[in-house]
Amino acid sequence: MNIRYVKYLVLLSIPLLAILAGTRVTKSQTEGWFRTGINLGQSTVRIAVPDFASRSADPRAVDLTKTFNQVLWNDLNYSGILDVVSKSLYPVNTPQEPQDVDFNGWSNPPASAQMLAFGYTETRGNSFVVTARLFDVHNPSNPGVLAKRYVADLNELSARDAAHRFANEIIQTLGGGLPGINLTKIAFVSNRTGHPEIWVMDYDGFNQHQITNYPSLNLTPRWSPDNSMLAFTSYASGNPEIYLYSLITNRRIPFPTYRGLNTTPAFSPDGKKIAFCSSMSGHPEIYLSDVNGLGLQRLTFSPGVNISPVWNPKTGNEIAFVSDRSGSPQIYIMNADGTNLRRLITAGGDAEAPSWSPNGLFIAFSWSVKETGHWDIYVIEIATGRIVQLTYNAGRNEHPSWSPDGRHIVFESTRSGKREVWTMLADGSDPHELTTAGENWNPNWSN
Amino acid sequence: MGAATFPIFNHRESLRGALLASIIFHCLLALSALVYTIWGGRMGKGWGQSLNSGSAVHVNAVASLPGVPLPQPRITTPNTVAVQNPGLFQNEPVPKPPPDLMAQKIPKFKEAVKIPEKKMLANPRIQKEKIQPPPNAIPYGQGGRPTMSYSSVTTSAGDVAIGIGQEDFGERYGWYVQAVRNRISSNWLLSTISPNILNAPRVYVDFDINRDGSITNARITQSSGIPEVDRSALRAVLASSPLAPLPADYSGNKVSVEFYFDLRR
Repeated sequence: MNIRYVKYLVLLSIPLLAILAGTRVTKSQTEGWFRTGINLGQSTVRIAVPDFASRSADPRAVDLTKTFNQVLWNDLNYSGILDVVSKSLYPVNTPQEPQDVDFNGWSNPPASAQMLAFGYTETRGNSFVVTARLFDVHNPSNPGVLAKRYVADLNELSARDAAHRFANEIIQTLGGGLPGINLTKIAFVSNRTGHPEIWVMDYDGFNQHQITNYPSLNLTPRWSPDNSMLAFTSYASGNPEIYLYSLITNRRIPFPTYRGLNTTPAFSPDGKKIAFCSSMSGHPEIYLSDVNGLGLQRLTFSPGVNISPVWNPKTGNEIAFVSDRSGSPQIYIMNADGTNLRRLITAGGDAEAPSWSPNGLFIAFSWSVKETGHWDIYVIEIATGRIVQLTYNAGRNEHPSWSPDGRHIVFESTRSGKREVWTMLADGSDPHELTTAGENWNPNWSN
Repeated sequence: MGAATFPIFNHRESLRGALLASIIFHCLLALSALVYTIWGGRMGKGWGQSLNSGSAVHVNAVASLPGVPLPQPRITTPNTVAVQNPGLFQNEPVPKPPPDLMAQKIPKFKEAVKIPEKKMLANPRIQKEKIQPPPNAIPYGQGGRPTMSYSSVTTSAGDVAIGIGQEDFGERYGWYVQAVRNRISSNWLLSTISPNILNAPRVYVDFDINRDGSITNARITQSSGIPEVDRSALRAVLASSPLAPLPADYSGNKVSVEFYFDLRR
């Protein structure tokens, strides 16, 4: 009896041992692993960006190289996740090829860089060719992180595009997968031609060009999720109406016209529906319609103004909007079918122009607190109701709009004397003025 | 009377004394064995146990050290070399020589020689799967240098050889690890944890990063014991998908990550 018991025990223990051995084997056979954690003393990545050298003596190429260096520097500096090392701390030798890199010189103080972006430009025929590399200088045996070659045309826009693309690659690689915003655009309203028209510019304010040319009032531009269309309010026919405009064909796309005020269109994240404000039934209310104009549906039922809808870009199931049903303009949230209505900010004052962050967790808005009466940009965390003020004592700041990476906010401000479009990091730091000609307002960041 | 008498044969010696001595001796022997088993084991270490433990030398086998100029093994013949080492893969078992039929008695009847069937010892219901080595497998000692995850790294401190199967992803792609850490920590929202929780035990979350940067198999391997801390940690990982694609020169298809979250505020 006893012996049989022992025998069973041995038999039972064999598969157990096999399982244990198996788990050990699978752990060691995975193709690579690492262990890391949070609260290890975070630091932003220090990156050195020495000037790319021009190998061609062509004066155009030299100028374009200068532009390329400038744009690359600005893009990386404004990414919000990188710490660009000042050029005065660089070693004397500027590398062009991998074998030129003096790893100790770059990784030791004073440069103390972790990453190094370098390369050179040359002309080949009618092309401006940029060879760009990103090195991890802390790992001399295996430094290569990125190696890219960009073939651009011999003009400034193309060279800027190459710099934006390389900066995007660096930001996506070092930022953990979130693409950079260097190729995104900002739509805004400008009266520099005499009438308020819709304009579009690069995210850094370059390449500002006019989209509409209706000699009338054009307001509230909004990008479609695929950036192929703009929706805006136009008084071109005399009555405020929703216009859709294709940036591919540069033509207007038909959208139904309704009686009364029609304004503040907003594309749903799937690009199939448009929420907008219309007073077709008397009061300005939020309506929902397919992009082709079918399936009109009223979402709000309250006396007073309901305006400025904005979708939750993460889920597409919620709409935030502005309503003065409580007496003053306040931000409300409802489901996309009009149910589950609740007020977002319980404090008083006037809150307007909500913009939902790309990750769906925050809403930026402009708010005039009763005590001060100043208009400033605030961000509220929806789940907790925590509010953070982003602008202080700097003119009137309104109409925030998130960048697609959630690290930047574009807004309009009068801090420079007149209404202009500004950007800042999403924590309120590092404001940049993008426009100077005429008055410019109501910016909307592309997706 | 004529017969010679030998008194020694007639003398009847008593065995009692010897028997007693023997019994006492055996008792002492048993007692000493008993005493040794009870007390002897407590004094010092038993046989076979190392007296100076901890002096074992840990040997990591590598093909060559970068600093030591060992002669490269000459490959002189493509023939198979007999090696003691079992090799990476199981070799084909050497077939047993067939039973010597000649040594057996030729049976009288012209019947087939009946070779007694070998009795199966193992359970016949369990079929042992035969391991087929892949077609490109090279048995140990018959190929060139191993081309597995083998690398030697030159750091600022000197040369470091990284052994087979221990390729340290974090050492080689430190920038990638840092990028993952920054992205996940930016998605870890402390505001979703109630403010009266000031610190919590570490939460360990394991996940895999695929080639394209997507995160799979995220799961909590060690809970902090506070559900909302666990949830916020798991949510931070899932919200970070997709991460940046794996480094282009990394050969594997995925990377396993053990990530921990330390709540201190």
